[in-house]
Amino acid sequence: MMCGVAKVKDWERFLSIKAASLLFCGAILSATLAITGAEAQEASDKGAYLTAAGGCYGCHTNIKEKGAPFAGGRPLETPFGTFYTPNITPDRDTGIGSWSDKDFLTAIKHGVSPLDQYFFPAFPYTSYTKMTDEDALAIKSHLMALTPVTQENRKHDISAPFSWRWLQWGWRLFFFTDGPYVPPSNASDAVARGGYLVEALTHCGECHTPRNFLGGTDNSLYLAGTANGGEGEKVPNITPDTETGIGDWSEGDIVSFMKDGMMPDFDNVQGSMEEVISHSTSKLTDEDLAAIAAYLKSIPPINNKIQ
Amino acid sequence: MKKLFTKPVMAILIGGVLFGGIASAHSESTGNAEADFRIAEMKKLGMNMGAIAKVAKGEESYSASLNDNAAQVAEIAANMPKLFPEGSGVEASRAKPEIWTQQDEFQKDIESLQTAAIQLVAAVKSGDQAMIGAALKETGGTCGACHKQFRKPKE
Repeated sequence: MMCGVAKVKDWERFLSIKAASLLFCGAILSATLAITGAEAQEASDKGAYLTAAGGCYGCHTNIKEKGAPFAGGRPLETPFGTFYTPNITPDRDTGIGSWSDKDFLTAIKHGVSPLDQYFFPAFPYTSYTKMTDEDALAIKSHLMALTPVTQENRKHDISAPFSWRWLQWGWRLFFFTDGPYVPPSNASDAVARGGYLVEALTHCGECHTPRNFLGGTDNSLYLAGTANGGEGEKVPNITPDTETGIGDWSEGDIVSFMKDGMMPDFDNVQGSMEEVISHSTSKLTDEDLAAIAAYLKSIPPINNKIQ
Repeated sequence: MKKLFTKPVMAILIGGVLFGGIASAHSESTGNAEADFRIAEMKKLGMNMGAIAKVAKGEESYSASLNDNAAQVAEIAANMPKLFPEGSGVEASRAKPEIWTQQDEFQKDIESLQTAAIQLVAAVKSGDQAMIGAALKETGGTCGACHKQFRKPKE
């Protein structure tokens, strides 16, 4: 009897240990699953966020003609002719579905396609080159998770010699600096973050910095605006010059403008910037917008009136 | 010859320069008085909203004078239908011809502004920063919505 009792007790003990360990393992397993789930979610959120910051949607979607998101075909009018943006959905034949990580990095950070062709600088690889590989690949993951759309790219409508791709070799020599973002040595954390966002992702300078007759940006007039912008628009000076720039805007004014397009005098912006705000900057966190504002306030003011 | 620059002549000369300056400051005129008046009223509307925005953003502290700004907004909103007489959609103005061809829709946009402006007056009266911010956002939204459809983008 004694032995029997002992056996039962052992059995009970064994059962309870087993149950406890099962519970424990289960808990670990589900915790692990939850963590990977959360991590995957975080990574995909990051990709979506950076894609918005990079402004990919606005140019790679033919919004006016209700084209599929990211499937390209949007005309970009420039003094050199009309460019039509390519399909960046993961379709294997007409999009970027077959691109490796290396292909993607070479394309967006160095401006060279997987077929070894130079991109025209209507594609802002000249800014994206400053992006970290990690951020660039997060964007790639986001794009690769989109629904593939089969849509052939449309040929650009630009005249010679600007249409000769091989000439880009020379253009790059003059106007393309390949390399990461380096904040100024005295930059605060906010200014450094803002500088990274502006220079590498939101690529403000591609429109707000004037270009010379060859289409290279004139960095002596960095963000000082131009009367001959893309899409035939006048582009304002956004340096902190009080007279001709946005020196009289507070950082709060810059942040709220990037959220809803209202200027301090409560005139709302229209045209290309309205698109940029609605598809890109309004999706950024308050912290990042404040960083951009801090950065824009930190750059040298340039007196350049846009007539 | 010396007598040429007498005081009255100088006064006329200086006056002329000043007047010229003022006239050239008005060089943005559309050439249509009704359109010019509309543009001036819109600017006034924006300035008043801008003043409220400074408080909503916490850049300036609340004061009772903000009620005057809100009252101005409501007044201009109430007067808005009169700012678009037929024939004032001149080339140099940014008013689109659709204002006069899609009058029902345009009217609806004005009514949303008027409703929002009344709420803005109440919010400003409350003195509550968050309420002011929300009401201002609502009002600003009606500006943007109408401009999107009925105002030409800046060149």
